[in-house]
Amino acid sequence: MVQILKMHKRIVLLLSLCSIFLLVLIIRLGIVQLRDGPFLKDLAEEEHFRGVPVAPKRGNIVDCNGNILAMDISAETVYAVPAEVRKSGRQEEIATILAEILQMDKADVLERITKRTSLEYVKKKIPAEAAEKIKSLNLPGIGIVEDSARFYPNGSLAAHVLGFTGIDNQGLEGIEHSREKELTGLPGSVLTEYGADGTKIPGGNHEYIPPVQGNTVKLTIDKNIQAIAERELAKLMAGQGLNMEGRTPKNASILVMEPSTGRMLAIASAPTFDPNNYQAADPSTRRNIAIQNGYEPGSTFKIITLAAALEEKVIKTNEMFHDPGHAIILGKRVRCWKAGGHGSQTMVQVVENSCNPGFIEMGQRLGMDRFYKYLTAFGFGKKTGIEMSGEAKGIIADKKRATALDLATMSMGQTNNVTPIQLITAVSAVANGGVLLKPQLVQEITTPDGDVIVPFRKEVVGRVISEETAKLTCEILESVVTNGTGRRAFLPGYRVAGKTGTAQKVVGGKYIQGEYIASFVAFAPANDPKLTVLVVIDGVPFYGGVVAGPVVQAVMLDSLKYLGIKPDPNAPLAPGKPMYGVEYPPVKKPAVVPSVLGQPLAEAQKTLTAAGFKVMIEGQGSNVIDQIPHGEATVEAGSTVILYLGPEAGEPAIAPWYQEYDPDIEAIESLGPRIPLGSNPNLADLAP
Amino acid sequence: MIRKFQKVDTLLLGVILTLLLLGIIMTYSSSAVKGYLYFDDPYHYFKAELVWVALGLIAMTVALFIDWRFLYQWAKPILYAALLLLVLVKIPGIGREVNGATRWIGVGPLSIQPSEVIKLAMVLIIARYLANNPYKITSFRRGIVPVLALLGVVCALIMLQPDLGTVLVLAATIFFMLLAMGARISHMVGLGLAGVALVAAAIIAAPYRMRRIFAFLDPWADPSGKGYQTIQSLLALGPGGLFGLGLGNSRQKFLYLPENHTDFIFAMIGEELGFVGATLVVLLFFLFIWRGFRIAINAPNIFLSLLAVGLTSLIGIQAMVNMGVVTGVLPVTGITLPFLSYGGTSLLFTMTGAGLLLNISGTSDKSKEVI
Repeated sequence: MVQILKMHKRIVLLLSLCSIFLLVLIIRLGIVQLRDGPFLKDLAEEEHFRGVPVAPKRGNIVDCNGNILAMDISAETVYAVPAEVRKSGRQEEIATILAEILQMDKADVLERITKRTSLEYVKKKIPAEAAEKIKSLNLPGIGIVEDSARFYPNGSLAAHVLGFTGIDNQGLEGIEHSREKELTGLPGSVLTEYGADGTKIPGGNHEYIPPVQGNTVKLTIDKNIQAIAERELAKLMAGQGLNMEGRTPKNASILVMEPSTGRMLAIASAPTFDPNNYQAADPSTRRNIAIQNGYEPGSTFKIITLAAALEEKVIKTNEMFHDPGHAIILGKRVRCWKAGGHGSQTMVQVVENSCNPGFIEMGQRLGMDRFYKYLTAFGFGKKTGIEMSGEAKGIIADKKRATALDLATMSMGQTNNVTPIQLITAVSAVANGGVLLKPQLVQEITTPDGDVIVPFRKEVVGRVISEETAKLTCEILESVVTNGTGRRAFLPGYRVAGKTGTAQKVVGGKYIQGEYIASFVAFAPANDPKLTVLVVIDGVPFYGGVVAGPVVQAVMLDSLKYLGIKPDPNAPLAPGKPMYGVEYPPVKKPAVVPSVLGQPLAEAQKTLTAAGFKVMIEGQGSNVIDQIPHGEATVEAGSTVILYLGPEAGEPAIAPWYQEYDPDIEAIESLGPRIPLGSNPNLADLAP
Repeated sequence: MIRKFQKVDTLLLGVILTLLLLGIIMTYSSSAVKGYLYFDDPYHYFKAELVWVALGLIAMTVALFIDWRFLYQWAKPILYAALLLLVLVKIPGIGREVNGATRWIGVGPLSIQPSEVIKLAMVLIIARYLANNPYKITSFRRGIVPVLALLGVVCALIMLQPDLGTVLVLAATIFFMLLAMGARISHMVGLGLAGVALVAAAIIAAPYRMRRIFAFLDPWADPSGKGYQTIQSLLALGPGGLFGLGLGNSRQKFLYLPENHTDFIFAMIGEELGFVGATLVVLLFFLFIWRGFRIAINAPNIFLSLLAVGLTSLIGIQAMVNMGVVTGVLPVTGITLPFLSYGGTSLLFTMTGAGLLLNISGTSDKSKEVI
């Protein structure tokens, strides 16, 4: 009996032990199922659900008025779930069918649809009919998912700014690249439950996580102004540029900036390409020369020299300056473009005439230190920071090694290498009252619904000149257009300020003959500038004012009209002096000058005499290295052609504008009414 | 040899039938995917389960009506037969190897697991031995050592298969029986420590067990290898939440959780029926253990009392270990959940044991019942 009672106690003890363990089990179940349940559920779903990613629509790129420049259009992508394909046992058959519809290699298709992954793309961006066909075939393990492709509705418009996207809709160049983060959006997915063997769970759950479209990038670019600029470039590239005599430049660019904010309203470069079909374009056409190419700006740069000289008060506007036709620096004679010089003139007239000795004088008075101070302050030699990849820094001569001769040439825009964007930014600083701004391309970032996420912010780099200096400089530059060398850009009824420029091209460390970079920078209205326009035409045998002036005129006039800027009733309706070449009496007896470039002297003389021209010879040597006027120019019959001689064609021994002796200036004077336009090609600057 | 009919413990019978019914439903739900994939028939396992349940019910009925004296008398022959089967399973050509372990004798659906037979035979012979020698139990050498000697031989034979899970359940059951008989606590603690040492030795002998043991402690360390089963089990339980995904809605049964209709049926219950369903199963086993021990206390003699303790422990401990494995508190041992796991010898002998337990309940003197 004692034994039995002891047994009862022991059994109760065993029951207690079991109860405790069972209680522990229930607590454990509570921990796993209730406390950790949601976490484990996520883990399990991560394991069960396999997603077919749904690419988000890329954000639009629009112009400052919301016009679409880049958008996404629907495209379809074929994908395979290899486990299902393998399970069906029809992989060979499926590969054959798909290869035919998609025009792919069968082996390639087979490899993709049987790959050991949970999901594999077969082909992206397939035609709609092909997608429809594949859908209707209902092949096991093969699906279609909507994808998107980039479309640029305006073709090549602003192509260099926009850039383009690759096969995965990823931005490769331009804004597409720099704003990849904003434009991309969030991918969504179609989630389906799969068993561990890689097949769909019958009656399993499906979940659609919609993709989120990328944000809209609103550019400062104005589609219409961009179109105006590109229209002018197209004309130039088609050989229809005014005064271009049917020639086409190597390349050209037009930039339009709002000087008060730094907003770029247009950046157009030619040649250009169609981003819808960028693969087909010559890669060289994708170079954005407005940003990536440096050049010697020539006389357009004199604006900076002038502003610096005025700011430092080293000149007075009414101060008289005598131009003897040259300046002698370090024993070298640097000539003015005008034969015999401009004689006695005010400083305003120096600018109007783009008189080289006048600007050399300004540079000398500023001195090396102050000149470099302004060179740097205006942003030369460093990137402007515009949102474009591959921006060039330009090259400015090393200050430590610069000579007085360098200072002289730099003052007239030679020697230093700048980019078009640097120049327009610097000139805009003069136009806006003296503040250098960072050029901007992005107006704002908005959601696809248009809510602004990142607003526009003007970025001030720094004040470079005082407001008074800026105002004075503007007035003088207005006078350049009204009375001086810039008359080609004169707009009746508008106050335009500007400056021409013709730069020689440096190839292999030498200036080459007969090919220039013609440019013109202008802003208007001069009293309250709304637009700065820079036109750079590369690879033409003409001068800035002649070919770039009319382009500036066209872009400026159309843009001002488009922006609704009314003509100023106080603005002059005609230039103060007759325009060279245009208003002059027309050529009475036209004759075309034959080109004798590179010919031996005797042969050249013979050709020209036969054509009825007089010949003047300059320099020493057996071959003609340059001629004025150039070949194919139409001039008065019987006028004089100057031939420049050298040892070998096209290769003057040293840069010609400081040759010790050069009497061509008188010769140019004698060439008749067309010639004043031409002046001396060996001087980088030339009139109008 | 057929005893007189007396009223059996109806609550226990109810618990057993409830568990069986739940087992049938859950086996079908868990095995339909596998049946369809491997045999093109979602009812493949369900049909076999019904056959096993029918066989089990027959075995339970037979056990219910057997006279306990018959069992007492035949305890030794039954043990010898069971030992013979246990030896036969290791003879090539007779034993069938599955997953690296030789546990089955026979072909196809007619195969049986000798280890299931030996569990019942051992409970029977130990109950008889202890009942015959009531005063030896306080002596370690004379009372306990003989039991341990036999247990050692049997366990060694089972480990040849190898089947650690069954060894642990059997050893714990015998341990419970010794405790119930009144063995000294000091002896039992000593035995417990020795048992731990033995398990440690077994683990060191076969490194795969070591990996299994440590896998359960941190399954996430090797989620696709050693920790796989534990993780997949938790990934079934977790999403079940409070009320479960609903009957038939398991996701883990899509080949994520191996052995989901056998060793891991409890995870399926937790997934489809939630915390509520799983807790219900735990409570059903609590009722089973309670009624089993109650029957032991109320049994008319020491032999039946010990037999009831042994049978209750055998089923109860196996259930607890299985649920411990599924919930990740015990290492994966590879034993089934009594009544609920898909059929086989396990179900057959579990139901035989349950039948015997009900049998004993019918022998008690109702006027003297306690607890």
